[in-house]
This record gives sequence, C-alpha cells and structure tokens, in this order.
Amino acid sequence: MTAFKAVYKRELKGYFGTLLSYVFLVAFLFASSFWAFKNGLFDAGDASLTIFFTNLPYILAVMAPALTMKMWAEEHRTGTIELLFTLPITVKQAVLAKFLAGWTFFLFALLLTAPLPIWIINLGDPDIGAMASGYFGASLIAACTLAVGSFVSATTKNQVISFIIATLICMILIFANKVSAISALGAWLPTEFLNFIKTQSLMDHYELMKSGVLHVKDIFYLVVMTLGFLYCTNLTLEMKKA
Amino acid sequence: MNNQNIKTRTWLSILAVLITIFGLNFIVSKKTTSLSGVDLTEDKFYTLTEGTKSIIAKLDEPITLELFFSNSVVNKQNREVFEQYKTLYQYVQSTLMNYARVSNGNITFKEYDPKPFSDAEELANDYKIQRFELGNGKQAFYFGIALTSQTGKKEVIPFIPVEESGTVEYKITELIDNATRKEKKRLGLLTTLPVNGDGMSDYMRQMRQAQGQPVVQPWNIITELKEYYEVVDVPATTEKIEGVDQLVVIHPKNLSDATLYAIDQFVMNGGATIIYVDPFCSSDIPVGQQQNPMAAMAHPSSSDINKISSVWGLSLKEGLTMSGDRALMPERPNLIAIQNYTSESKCFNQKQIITQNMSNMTSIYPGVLEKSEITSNTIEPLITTSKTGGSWIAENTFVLRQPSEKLNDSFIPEDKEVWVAAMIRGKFKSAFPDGAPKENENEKAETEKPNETEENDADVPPHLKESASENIVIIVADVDMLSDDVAYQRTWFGETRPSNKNSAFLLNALQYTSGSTDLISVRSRGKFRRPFKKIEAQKKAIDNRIKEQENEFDEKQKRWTAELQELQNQSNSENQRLVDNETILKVNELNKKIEAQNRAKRKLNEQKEKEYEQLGNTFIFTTQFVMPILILVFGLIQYAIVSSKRKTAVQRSSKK
Repeated sequence: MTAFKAVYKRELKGYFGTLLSYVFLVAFLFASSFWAFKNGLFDAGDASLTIFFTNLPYILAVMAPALTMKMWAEEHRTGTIELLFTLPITVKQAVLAKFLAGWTFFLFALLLTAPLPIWIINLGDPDIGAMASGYFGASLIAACTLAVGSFVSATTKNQVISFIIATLICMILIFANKVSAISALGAWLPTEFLNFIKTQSLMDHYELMKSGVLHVKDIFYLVVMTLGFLYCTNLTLEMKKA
Repeated sequence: MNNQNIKTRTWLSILAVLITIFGLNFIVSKKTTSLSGVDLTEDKFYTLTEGTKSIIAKLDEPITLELFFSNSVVNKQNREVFEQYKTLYQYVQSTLMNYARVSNGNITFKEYDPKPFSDAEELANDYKIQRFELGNGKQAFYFGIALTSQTGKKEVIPFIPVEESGTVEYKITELIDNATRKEKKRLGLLTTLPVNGDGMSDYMRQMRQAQGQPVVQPWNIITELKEYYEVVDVPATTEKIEGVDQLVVIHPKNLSDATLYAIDQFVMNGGATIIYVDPFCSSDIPVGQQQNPMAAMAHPSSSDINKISSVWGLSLKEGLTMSGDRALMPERPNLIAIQNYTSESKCFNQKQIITQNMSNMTSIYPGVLEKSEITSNTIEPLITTSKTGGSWIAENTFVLRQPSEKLNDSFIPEDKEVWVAAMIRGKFKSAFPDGAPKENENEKAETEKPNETEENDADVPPHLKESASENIVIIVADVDMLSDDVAYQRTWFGETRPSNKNSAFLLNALQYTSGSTDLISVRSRGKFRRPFKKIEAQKKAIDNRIKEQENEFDEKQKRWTAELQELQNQSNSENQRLVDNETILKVNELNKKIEAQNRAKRKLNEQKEKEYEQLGNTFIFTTQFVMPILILVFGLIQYAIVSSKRKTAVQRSSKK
C-alpha cells in the first residue's frame, strides 16, 4: 500500500508540477467552453449543460490520449519501468496507481469547469439533477478513455504512436452508433452484428446520463470497459516484464 | 522462442478480454434495456408516466414509431431556434427509445434524417410530416413522428414545436391511444356563438376560398376537439339531447326552459357535462360593432345556467361581477389584474388530476362562481384566483372599455381565493322536479295536431328527478378563454398552436369526465426548456425601453405625415404655379424630418440587437477566458517557484 501511495503521489505531483499540465488544463477548459458556446449553449436560451456534455466525449477522446501517451511509453523509452518494478508493488497496483493519478487530474479539470454551472444557476433555473448526472457520466467517460490510453501507451515506446492509436480507438468507440456509418456496413453485415457494434458506442451510453438518467447498462458499460482496458494494460506490462 | 510464446499468449489473452467485455456489454445492454434508470431530472421527464405505461400495456398489436428529424440541415443552421430544436430532438429520441424499451417488443423505434431527394424525405412526405422550406428552397426542415401498425393504421404528429416540449410524451401517448382506439366518442356541442364557423366541411370551405368567397373559420378549439371526438352539433333550441356521450355547453345565453330542461335531463341520465358561462363575453359582440360601445351596451353578452346549476350547488354571481387578483400581473404591480390574467400554478387545484401540474391559463373578464350550501354534492374548485383575489362589479359594459388602471377603484379586495372554475360531483337532483317545463307543453298543445301529440309523447324519455349514479358537471366562468385570440397563437413556422393551457384544460376535463384518466396523467409534464430568466427579464426591459422610444418616434412621424398630407392636399387644390416658396420649404422640411425618424428607428433596432448580444457577454467571457487565464497564470507562478527552487538546490549542491 505504501508503494501504491508513493506511485500515486509521484504521478500526481508530475501532473501538477509541470507547466505542460497547466497548458493541458487551459486547453481543456478553453476547448470545452468555446465549443459549447459555439454550438449554442447561450443562444439556445436553455439553462442547461446538455450542449456542454454532448461535446465532452469528443474532447476527452483527444485529451485523454494526450495525457496518457507518456504514462508507460516514456517509462519504456527511458528504462525507468524496470526501476518501477523493483519497488514492492505489483504490476496491477502500478497500473491502478497511475490510472488513478490520471483520473484525479481529469476530475480536477472537470472541477475547474464549475464557473459554467454556477453562472447558469445564477442566470436561470437549471435542472440540478441532470447536471449532476452529466458530470458523473463525464467522469466515467474520462476514466474509460484514460484506460484506453493507458493500454495503448503500455504497448509502445513511442508517445506519438500511442497518442494517435489511442485517439483512433476512442473515436471508433464514440462513433460506433452513427447511423450513416452503420448503414454503409448494413448491406453486407447481419443486423444483429450491427446492433452489437451500436451497443459498444460510448456516446450511446452517455446519451441518457447527460440528460439526467442513470441506467445500469450505461454504468456497467463504462465500468467494465475501464476495468477491461486496465486489465489489458496489466497483461501487456506483465508480458514486457517477462 | 519463449518470448515469442509469451507475446502470442499475451495478445490472445488481450483479445479474449476485449471480446469478453464487448460481449458482456452487448448481453447486459439487451437484457437491461427494458429496465428504467434512475431519473435524476426535477420533473422526471425521462420516466414514462403510469398513464403511458398503462396505454402501452394495452397494445394488442405491434406498432412502429418513426421519427423524422432533419439533423444534417439543423447542424448547418446558425439560428437560435434550431439550437432549441436540437435539444428537443435529443429528448424526443430518448423518450421514443423509452417507449420501445417498456413495450415488450410491441413498439419498434426507427429514425430518419430526411435529406433532400433521399428515400427518407419521400417517406416523410408520404406520411405528411410537415415540411418547412428553408433559405433558397433547396433545404427543408422536418420534425415529426409517424405511427404505423401491422393492420395498416397510420397516425402522425406532423410537427413538434419547441414551445410544446412539455407535452411531447402526451402527444406520443395520445398518438398510440388514437391508433389503438376503435372509434371516437361522440361529443355534443351546444352553443350560442358561431364557434363552428359557417358550419361547412373543410373541403367546402377550401372550395369557397379558392373561388374568392368569404368563409368563417371555426374556432381552433373546435378543430382541436374534432381530433379526438366526433363533434355533434346540438342546436341551442333543442328540447332533447341524445346520441352523444358527453356534452360541452359554450355561452348558454338566453336558453329556453325547454333547452335547460334538456341539459338537466342529460345530466340526470349520467351524461358528463362541461359548461362555459360568462358575465361578459367579449367574443359575443356582433361583427362590425366591436368599436361601437353603444352597440356593445345594447347587445347582451352574458350567459349563465343558474336556473339549473344553482340546484346542483354552483352558480355564477349575478350582474357584471368579475374576478380579479392583485398578484397575477407581477410586471405591473400597481395594476390589479381585472381584465385578463394568467393564472399561475398556485391558482390550480393540484390535488385534482385535471389541473395537476397546470399553470398559465389566460381569461378575459372571468366571472365568479359561488357555491350553494343546500346541495349534498361534492363541489371543489379547479381554478381560482390566488389568496389575494377578489371581485368587482361593472355598472355596465361601457365601463369595461376603460383601461385597467381606471377600473382599479372598482375592485373589492377580499383577500381570498375566488372561484373561476369548479367541479360538481355526486348524484344530481333535477332542477325541474315536476317534469318538463309547463310552458313548453302548452305551446306544444297549441301547435301540434292530436296524432302528433300522441306520437311525441311516445318519444319523450321518462323524466328523471335524480341521477341514478354519480355524475360530474364542470362549470367555468369565462367563455373568452376558448377564443382564438386568447387560447392560440402563431408559431415561428406560421402554424397555429395553443399559447397557454386553456385548451388543455377543456381536453383534460373531457378525458377525466369520460372516465379515461390514463392520458390526463400524461398531459402536463412541467417545463422541459428552462430559459435564462435573468436574461429574458433584461431582454424584456430592453424591449420596453426601445418600445417607448419607438412609440415617441411613431407619434412624431404620425404628426408630421398628417401635416405633410395637409400641405399636399392644399397645394393640389390650388394652382400649382401659385404654391408659394414657404409651402415648398415646409414640405421639404417635413420630408427630411420623416426620413430622419425612419433612420432613427432603424438605429433603435440596431441598438436593440447590440444590447441583446451584450447580455450574455459577461457570462461567456468569464467561462471561456477568465478561468483558463487564471490557471495559466497559476501554472506560470508554480513553474517559476519550482524552477527557482531547483536552481537554488543545484547551486547549493555545486557549492558543496
């Protein structure tokens, strides 16, 4: 546990101790609010954060891989990964500690968007339940995309490759439910398989959450995907250790 | 080789894990789709009501709900109204998915984006989903729902306006209910107003319009009633009401005893009845005499059925007694709402299913209903003033032409809830205990031949002194709330839709009194769209200020235009050559002034738009820039501190 905490604290210090992380936070805050206003957050005249939440997965699909690209790739490249595994910590604990540090940083980034709901509460009468549900969903989506990024980062030494592949995977997961994409495949794939693809979509499982409804299938999806990709990270690192 | 084996085994394991998690997701999604989630929204918008679930459970055949929404078109538009439609679309989509979820496979949900020249567009046109041309006519906007069943039934919601977002679930459930209902109920309509227009069918009316002949449209409320009922005209001179399941009486002015007896016996026979009476019905002014106060005084426009309703326990207060309320017009606090008011939620009986979750009704010169203590029926209010309400009496209808401010002095503050609509429930006693009115019988005897009298006696149903079972009568003390001017408005897209809950109240009441409560529980779901109240208040303040200035400009422009007209008339009547320089100069000056006014008015509109834009600037600037800048500054400070600490540490270690 001590080693786990040490890794967690070290990672967290790394996030908050470098200028790059603050640039990351600025980029996230600016992109999320700019895009929300561009898509009509104020013009729609509706005191809700639905538009803001709708854009978040797309932003997270890029930001999470950016955050995780050096998580394991850098350790591989510099050789510090061997040092890490000499500590009294299992691979699973190391994976979990790094993931939790990344997630904590992301939750902090979400917290920094607080002026938006505060202003909306000041100007109108928003549905607080829907806002809370949207933020909860966003934190789970962040966890899922971080887990994907962590896995891809563990498979390669090159940060750029890690970023590109992780972003690609996240985008595929987000766009899996797009009707146009499905119908193009619909000509030669069975319907049940198309439905199978649709149920793997991140956006499909975020739709209700950002509107204010917590459904067991959505929470199950995001938790299982997160844990699944973290386990894959663990398998990859075990392989490299061996 | 060993390493290769390990790699292969690891990658196979990873593949197995991914297949497992994707497979698990698929299975869990399928198995739990029919479960409802935890709805955290304030108004439980995403939870289908029990009424909807009950109607879906009664489905005896599979149906398909097809949603048409021009997503690709909306994404290209920059107008605010389309942003609102995007939000509404997401809600409608989610709601329809919910319907499919809880239907045990009886409802299939499909959605289409009717792009130009696509199959989806053709399908939308086949279903008669309303099409709105945009811009150059190459793009069109669709937002509607079509229902089809295996037996070939088709029902359509041609368009879902954003203003009706709170009733989306009701409309969809109603669509399903209409499609599965075998036949429409017969609704009798007894009225002394031309609510049916010229009484022609829509087809004949269109033919006459095409020929340039005048037509009188029916009131929108009647058109709306015909969507749900087979509306049967009951003549205002009728002596017998039969062949209808329910009765609506609108403005029962000067009804004969025979007709009152017919209504009385309809109620005794268990026919639920809704009656709109009025101390002053502004919709009952003869055409062409609206601006003629003397004609208005002479024309009787009040109605009541106190002769029968007082026996049942409720009557309209006599004379020109109106209800009023201090609290119902907050934007003009010094004005007691006398002529018209919008009832807020506190004015509706929240325990009664008809008016539960209701707000926003408008009435014009509403009357006062009084409860009689002699009845054993249960009488409860449905719509009242707030607790600061009261009543006032107008000497005559001429007085009602005055502005509301001048009528304030007539108001009698009673500081209590004054009844505007109420429901009587119980076993009704006839207001004609001795049978049909005698004058009727005497007239008949004079005009009928002996054979006819015998035949007619055979047709006359037996007189009922009391209803055999419990019945309901609802009385509303305002007829004008059903008129087009009060209850309806035109949308941005040019179609007519309810502007408040006036029509919904009548439909709710009819549903309730027919015994069908499923749809009522769905009808009013509260507010889906939550406006920026402060911004809207600021916009209103800007509008009022600009309007005042505009009015000033208009006044001046009117005066100068009149002067100009006078000068021009003068110069036309004289010989043009004799028109003096002074007149010409004056004309030129007036023209310049009028042009300057027009420019000033255009600048006012520009100013209004600029002020609108500035309203949200602080909000947008703070959230978009202030927070990121603060974080960047903090980061730079942090970086500077860490760098300087590192430098110090390096320097120390190098000194050592």
